[in-house]
Amino acid sequence: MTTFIQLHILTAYAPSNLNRDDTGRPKTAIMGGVERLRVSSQSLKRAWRTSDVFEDALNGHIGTRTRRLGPEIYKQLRDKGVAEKMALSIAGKIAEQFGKLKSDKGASAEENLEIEQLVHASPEEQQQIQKLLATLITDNREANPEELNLLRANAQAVDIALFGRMLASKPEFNVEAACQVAHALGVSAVTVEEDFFTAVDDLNGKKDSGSAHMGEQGFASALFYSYICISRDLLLENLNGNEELVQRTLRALTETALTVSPGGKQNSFASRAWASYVMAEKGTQQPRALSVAFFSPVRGEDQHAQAITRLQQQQQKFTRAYGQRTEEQRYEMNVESGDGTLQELLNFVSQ
Amino acid sequence: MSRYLIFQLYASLVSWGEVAVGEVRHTATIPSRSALLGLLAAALGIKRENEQQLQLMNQHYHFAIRPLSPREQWLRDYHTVQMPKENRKRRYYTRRDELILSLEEPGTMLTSREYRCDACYHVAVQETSDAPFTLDELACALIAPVFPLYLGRKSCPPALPLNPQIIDGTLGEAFHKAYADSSYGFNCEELAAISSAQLFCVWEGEQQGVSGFATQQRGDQPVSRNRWQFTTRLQHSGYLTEEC
Repeated sequence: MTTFIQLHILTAYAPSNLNRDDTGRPKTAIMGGVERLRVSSQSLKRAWRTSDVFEDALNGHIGTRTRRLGPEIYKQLRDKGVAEKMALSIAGKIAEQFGKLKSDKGASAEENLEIEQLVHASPEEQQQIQKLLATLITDNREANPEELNLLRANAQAVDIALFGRMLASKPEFNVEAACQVAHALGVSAVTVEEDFFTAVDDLNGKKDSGSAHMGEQGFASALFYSYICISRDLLLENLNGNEELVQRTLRALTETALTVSPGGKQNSFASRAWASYVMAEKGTQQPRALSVAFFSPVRGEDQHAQAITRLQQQQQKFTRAYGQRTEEQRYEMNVESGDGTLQELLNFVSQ
Repeated sequence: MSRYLIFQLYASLVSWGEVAVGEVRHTATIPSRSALLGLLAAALGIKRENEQQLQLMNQHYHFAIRPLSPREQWLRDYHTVQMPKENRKRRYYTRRDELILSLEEPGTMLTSREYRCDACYHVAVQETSDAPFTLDELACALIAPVFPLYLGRKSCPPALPLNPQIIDGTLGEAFHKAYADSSYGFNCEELAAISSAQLFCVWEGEQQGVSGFATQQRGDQPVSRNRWQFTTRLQHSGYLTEEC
């Protein structure tokens, strides 16, 4: 028996262009014979997995963001009496695991231990580095490649365990995704509008007051229905049976999916939005999306309330028609009505 | 008389892989044999690496498909994938690492993925002798699957319970009975608009209650999952005979 966690999410976006096609227009799809605004599952997943929320959450909010990992390690080793050459080499090799090192010609060897970008070192990783350094100091030797590889093993699985990976040339990275994400579709019909815009030259004289640039960009607004289905069992397997990490991953994914928006045209539209309604389901029955609820588009003024009601009714209709096992569980967070909280939702999803 | 396992497939987006090597990933109008085998294997919990079990699955089931949506439409999704150049010396533990820490600027790969919108189907499965799983076992697996199910692509989750049921009769009768059965979701008001009792269907092997008008070769019979090889098979198309 596999435990599936299903999330049904409603998020309202003001006019925006979150996910574009090859002509720069917002992506759409037909549902119920009517055009809807769409955000592809790939776009959603990329926004989540590259978000700070995701990484921070997975690191328990207390990791270190630094470029100075190498110099710190070097200093520690020198303080413990390790020879300069070996200390440089060890510090360099460990720092390299996290990012590319500087290579300024004018800088000293120690300065070149700095990493070019800020990197995030989790508490687990910091601890592992300390453990490794202690061993190396006692044995008075350099680190071998396996020890270096292990340093980031914790960071490894989490997003790959969720979203999977297939690389023909690196089969060791092939992981079957434990999480399924549907394309987010608008619950109502959409008309993509064109924004005609001009940019005026700041140094225009009085005689020449025309625009220096003209363009058009598509935009539209929608209340999106997103659906996520996670196989808890596969996630546990992908994370090598680490139950604690599974719970953290589930919490992080849920929080991210509710609060992180795709990055498309954010500078033009500032279309950051948080979910306003979530229905989470947990059980072993065949998972199914509830998009049928919006098959005939939501019309009228109070789309929000209508959409919530329709989702709840669709869930009940399915239960009535197809039956439900007793162990199926449900939790709702409704921002409008004030029912449910994020913390309780995260507890429900991760338990 | 035969026994059929009949289940329904509906999702707002579906994509049935065609032979594809280039930038455009086309979709067929009806599920490929490999997609249906994959769906059953996923429900049973057979992993992709388990070549032996998958081979057995490939040999012992016939599929018939009745498309039920005359209104389905077609969508091409323009898709970019950001991808740093492969660097064998470096191990990237997360996707974020790969994009932020790669030595060279990440490049972009373009693909166009085709989908069908509003597509729905009834699928009939028939077992041959020595089949590794009985139709009842398959039905149980579809009700409580081991792996998440999807309609061609992982991003296309089913949006209706599959409602698998065993129905006796000729293929024509089985499809008619399934359509008349109110427990299938196509009879719910939301989907009434797109489902229609068209008589067109496709099938494999010898079937009763249908009359064929064409036979086609399709290249969707899996040979080896590991080597990603397929071979061809014969698929008949025609109509359900009306008297059922």
